[in-house]
Amino acid sequence: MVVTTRLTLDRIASSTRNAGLTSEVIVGDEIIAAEGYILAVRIVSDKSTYNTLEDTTGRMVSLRSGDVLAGTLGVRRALRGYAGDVPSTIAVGDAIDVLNLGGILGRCTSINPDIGPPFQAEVLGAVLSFPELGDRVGRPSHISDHSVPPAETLACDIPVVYVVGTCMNSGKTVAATELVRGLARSGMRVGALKLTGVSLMRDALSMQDAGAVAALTFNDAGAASTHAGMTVPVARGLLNRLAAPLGPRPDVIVAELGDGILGEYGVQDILRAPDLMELGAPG
Amino acid sequence: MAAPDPVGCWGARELMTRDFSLPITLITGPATDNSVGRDYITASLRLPAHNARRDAEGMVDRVRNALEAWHAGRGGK
Repeated sequence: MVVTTRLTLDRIASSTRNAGLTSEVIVGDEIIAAEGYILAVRIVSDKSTYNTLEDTTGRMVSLRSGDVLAGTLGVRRALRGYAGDVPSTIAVGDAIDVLNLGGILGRCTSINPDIGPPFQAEVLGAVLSFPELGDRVGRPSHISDHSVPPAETLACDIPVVYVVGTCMNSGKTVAATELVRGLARSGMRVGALKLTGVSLMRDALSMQDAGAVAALTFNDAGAASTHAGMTVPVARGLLNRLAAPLGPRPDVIVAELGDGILGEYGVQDILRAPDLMELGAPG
Repeated sequence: MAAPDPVGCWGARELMTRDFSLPITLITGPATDNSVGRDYITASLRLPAHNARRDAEGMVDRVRNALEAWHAGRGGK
């Protein structure tokens, strides 16, 4: 039998946003150790650098020892950040690390000396959702709840400008944002996508601020982070959503592929997908 | 394609050609911060180079041309 506890969250990470959490949650002690499930954790360390968290509005807020945080289990493979995995089992009281600014939770396996060790946390439980009105038994919340479904076929005929790079921090987001701004100023309706990487709203918000009529990321498709084997259906689903008859229907889509063409976030799968590349405007 | 340095630019072109059979419309990123990188990209790699911060207009024009070509290849907009 699942033992449940009522908790008040101090911080709700942006990576959990599909679940629409409020600060009052119920957590259970049975935890599914897999990507995308939402956990409540208590931060047990303080840091002087890389010590903020993006909340569900996109605002960067400080994170301090003692804060109760809702974050998302996921994997990270950042050349200039942390690497970490979802542990094979997770129980209440276990130690876990905060792997990125979007609140991805996992066990850190490698750090970049520039940012020091990650925030450490104690697992408090699985955040439960009660999808049907009057439900008395909750189920573990997952960020695929209310998400854009991945698709096996592409139903989009809008040209796409793919912005790729050789690695993290190579200038992709600046380029994507300036492309959105310039194309929008020329009178085009511009949609924006971030198709690979690890959950963070910042880049999509930046493209929205530059004039995109809509901006979606893989997180909107229920993925905490991306990897080989899953990015193509996610990309098709997001493109289909932008091109849907009742959707924003842009004239052009600027799609940033986070990380590099040699990284581990599944960029290569997208570059090898003929239907996705058919939409590319190479010049 | 965004790249931090000339070696990254060279490697990007190699990978895009050899592994993905895809053309590069333009190169941007820190490799285009000054004329040293831009000259290498345009002269040695024979690719357009536009810095997104300092030459956003040139970058956008290049992409708009590519979009027009894409539409023309599909029989107009």
